Parts: sequence; C-alpha cells; structure tokens
Amino acid sequence: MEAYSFRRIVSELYFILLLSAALSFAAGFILQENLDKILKTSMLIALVPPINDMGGNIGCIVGSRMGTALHLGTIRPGRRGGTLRKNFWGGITSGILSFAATGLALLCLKPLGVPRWVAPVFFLAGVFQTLIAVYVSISLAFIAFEKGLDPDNVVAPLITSICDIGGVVSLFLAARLLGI
Amino acid sequence: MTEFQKMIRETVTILILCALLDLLTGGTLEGMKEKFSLLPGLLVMIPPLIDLRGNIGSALGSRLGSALHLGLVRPEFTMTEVLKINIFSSLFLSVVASASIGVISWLICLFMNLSGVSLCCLLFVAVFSGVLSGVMITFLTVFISIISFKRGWDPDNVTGPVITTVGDIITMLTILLSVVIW
Repeated sequence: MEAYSFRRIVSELYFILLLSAALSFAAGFILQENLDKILKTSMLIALVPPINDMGGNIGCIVGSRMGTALHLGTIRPGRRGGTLRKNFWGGITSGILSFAATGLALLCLKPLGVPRWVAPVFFLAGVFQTLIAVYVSISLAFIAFEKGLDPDNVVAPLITSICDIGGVVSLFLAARLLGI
Repeated sequence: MTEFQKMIRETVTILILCALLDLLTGGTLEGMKEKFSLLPGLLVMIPPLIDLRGNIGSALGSRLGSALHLGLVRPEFTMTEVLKINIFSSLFLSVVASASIGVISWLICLFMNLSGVSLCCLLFVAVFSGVLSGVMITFLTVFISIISFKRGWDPDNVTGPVITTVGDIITMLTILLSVVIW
C-alpha cells in the first residue's frame, strides 16, 4: 500500500475541508434564519452546542476507528464481521451512556433554574444524534474507502458538520415527541 | 477486559471529559463573540474557521491513529518521513484552507450587502490565526496521539474529540489575538 504522500493528503483533504465549511456556513444560516424564532422561547437553543459537539465527537471516534480497521484489513467493505459489529455497537453504547451522564448532570442543575423537561429532551435527542453519528460515519468510511479516498481524511471533517445539522433536527424532534 | 469494554470505557471517559470542557469554555467563548461584532464580517467567518481547525486536527489524528496501528509511525517523538509528511500537509492546509475561508466569507459579505467589510482584514485574521493555531493544534495532535498510544489507550478513541474541544479554545484565542493586532 502507498504510504502517506503530501500531495494526496492535501488534495483529498482540501476538497473535503471546503465541503465541510460549506455545510457549516449552511448550518449557520439555517439556524439563524429559522430556529431563532422556533427556539427563542425555550431553553432548547442552549442544548444545541453540547449535542452538536458530542455527536461530532462520537462520529469522529467511530470514523477514526473505521479508518484504522479498513487500513488494517480487519473490516472489508461490503462484509459484515465481528469488528464492524463491535464498532457499531460500541459507538451506540458509548454515545447513549455519555448522553445519559450529561443528562443526569443537567437534572442536577435544577436548582439553578434549569426546567425539568430539559434533561429528558436532551437524552432522547442524544439517542437520535448517536444513531445518526454512528450510522453516517460508518457509511462514509465505506464510501470513501471504496472510492479510493483515505477514510481518515474524509469522515472526521464531514461527520462534525453533518452532526451540526443532526443535533438541531434531533432536538426539535425530541421536543415534539415529548410534547414540549 | 475485552476490546469492546475497552472501547466503551475509553470512549465514555473522553466524551464526558470533552462535554465538561465544552460547558466550561462555552460560556466564556460566547462572551468573547460580542467583541467580534466590532469588526464587520468577522462573525460570518468564525464558525467555519473553528470547524476548519478541528477538522484538520481530527483528520491528522485519525491518520496518525491508523499509522500507529499499522506500525508506520512509531510511538516515539522522532521525526520520521511519514510523520513529517503528515505534519507538513496539516500546516500547509491550515494556511491555504484558512485563506480560502477568508475569501469565501468576504464574498458572502459582498453578496449579503454587508458594508465596511475589508478583504485584507478578513484575510489577515483568517491566515494569521490559522498559522498560529495550526502550529499549536498540529503539534498537540501528534503529542496526544503518541502519548495515548504509549499509555495503551487507542488514539482513535482519544485524539479526535480532545483536539476538536481544545482546538475550539485555541482557535478563539488566536482569532481574538489577531483582531487585537489588526
């Protein structure tokens, strides 16, 4: 296998970085244009940064692990094996546990005036966000690898931007489902 | 301990740590954003710039994770060819992609009819903070990857989240510094 070359890293990553920046500009605009109005009255907007960052981090970890496994050959595209299953369920379990822990922390902030519904909404949205982060990062890793791109260059930048959109959608969905 | 349990343990620890760091820094950084509204057009540029540094860092971390597992990079602080290529491409991208974001932000401001936005100013802030934070984030990424691998932690579980969280702080501080200099 060809080891790392400056040209390959720069040309692959530059394109991905600009794509990710475009998504990030877009996410910013969507937030500013619509969600200000929808979320202004509630505390939901305060939950956007943590849910986006945690989703991005989960996606980053799973993507990075997928990159390593694809390079090592322990995961092959198009085949389901033990390593893939472990990464999938490991990502889902870690994500849900972490969102549960932060949700509990939010519950403890009740004396500071954080309403009681904030924690369950955050947790449920976190479950949606985890599913998005894990599923999309695994898919992106496979797609990148099959196209001859290095998944290490592709997944992390894209998944953080995708989770910026996913987090907002998840919060909105969770609030709707819980009737807030 | 099975590999699965190891993944859960490391990942949950890092995720919660990063969430706490996020909470601590989030408020302070939000406060700093007020200062940035003084320079027209700067606010358009800040979210993509922050994401960009995190992305360059986490992609580097992800590559180093693979390279360490493959044995292409050894867990020690010596400048090998593979490490050099990874470091230089990250530094190069920090400059070039930051400059691109500066130009794109300027174009967006033009398109939105924002007045008083200068290309020079946006370009200076983007590139100056890009070089400064790029150097710090790149070397920090290498450091975290190698240290975590040495300690028996999987760098794939550690580097990405830590570098995006710490990178946010570094980037905001370097942007603030370049605004002050300008």
